[in-house]
Amino acid sequence: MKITRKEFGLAVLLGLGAMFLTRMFGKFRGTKSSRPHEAARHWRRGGQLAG
Amino acid sequence: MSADNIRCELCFRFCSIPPGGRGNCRVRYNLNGELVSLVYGKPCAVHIDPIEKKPMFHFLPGTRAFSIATAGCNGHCQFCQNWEISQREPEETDNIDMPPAAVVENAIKSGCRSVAYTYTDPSIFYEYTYDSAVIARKKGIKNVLVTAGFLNEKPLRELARYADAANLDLKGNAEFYNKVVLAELKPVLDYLRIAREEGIFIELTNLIVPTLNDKKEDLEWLIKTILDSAGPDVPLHFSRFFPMYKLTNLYPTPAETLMDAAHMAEDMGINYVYVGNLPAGEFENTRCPKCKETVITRRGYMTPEIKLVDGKCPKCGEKIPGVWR
Repeated sequence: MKITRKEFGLAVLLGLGAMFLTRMFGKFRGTKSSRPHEAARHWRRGGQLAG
Repeated sequence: MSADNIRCELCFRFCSIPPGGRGNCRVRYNLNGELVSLVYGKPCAVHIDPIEKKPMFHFLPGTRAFSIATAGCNGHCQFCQNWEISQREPEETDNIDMPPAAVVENAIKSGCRSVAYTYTDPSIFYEYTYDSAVIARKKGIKNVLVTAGFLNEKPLRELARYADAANLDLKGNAEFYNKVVLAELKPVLDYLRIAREEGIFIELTNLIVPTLNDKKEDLEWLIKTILDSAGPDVPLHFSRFFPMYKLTNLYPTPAETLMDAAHMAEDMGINYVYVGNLPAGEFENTRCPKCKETVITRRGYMTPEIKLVDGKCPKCGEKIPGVWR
């Protein structure tokens, strides 16, 4: 089966949409992932600190 | 020691600090004959983390910890996973102003049940930790120390009045501490003993670094030391190393090494063994040591199921050590 560029693009968009919806409305919305407090960002760029 | 020097008595290094100089931790400073902290109320990392990330698996599971750290450290692990802040001076990091009262206020606003003093060693920002912990205790927020255990007896006993739990790193044997951590083992074992005497709930972490502390005899020594000094009920986390700081020449710890270590610890009698930084199946869950029922199910930092009833196994009633509420 050959996938066209249009189908591929649609699949990527659907995937991103699903991720967005899960993040916004999912069971673990914003509660179980590590995130910087609004007052500060940690110093490392592009990764979590250990511990 | 010169008459103008100050001796810092916070950790085993007992730095003699000349006027205008700093201790080994880079954050304690001799200002005209007075020892001052350069990082009081100035964290460089402020995060809302799941408590499972510390890792603390027997302490308020499924809750969030308001996690803070300042620059600097009195350990210099060649494998440090947070070296961008721990091996820096406070002038080199991106700090904010957050006095102790604001730490606790922000923790409450963020729905956190605890404040974790973590990422770098909280002993080097001792005064900030202590003052925050006092306020947190008054407001019903618990205090968690995530530490390498480099804190002398007197300050530890004082802090212990307000500390509820600690995750202590037991990194390896004496030779490993001398060569790779550039520190000493004895203060860590003293910390473990004193913290237990003071009633701080302890979990232990061992980062397994390939070729340096991953040999069978290294792990056997570690497990035996834990059994001798803390008994079989202290939760033990084996954590996966990723190449960092001065050990980028090494590879990440193979999953097999971690699983073998966990099986060895179980076989030697440790009741609660976990594997971290790796999807580890059964070694992510808490199981009752008596009837083997899974009492807490985890997926990474998530806890989809907590079956404990008043801290006991729902099947056989065995008490599971921990702080559950």
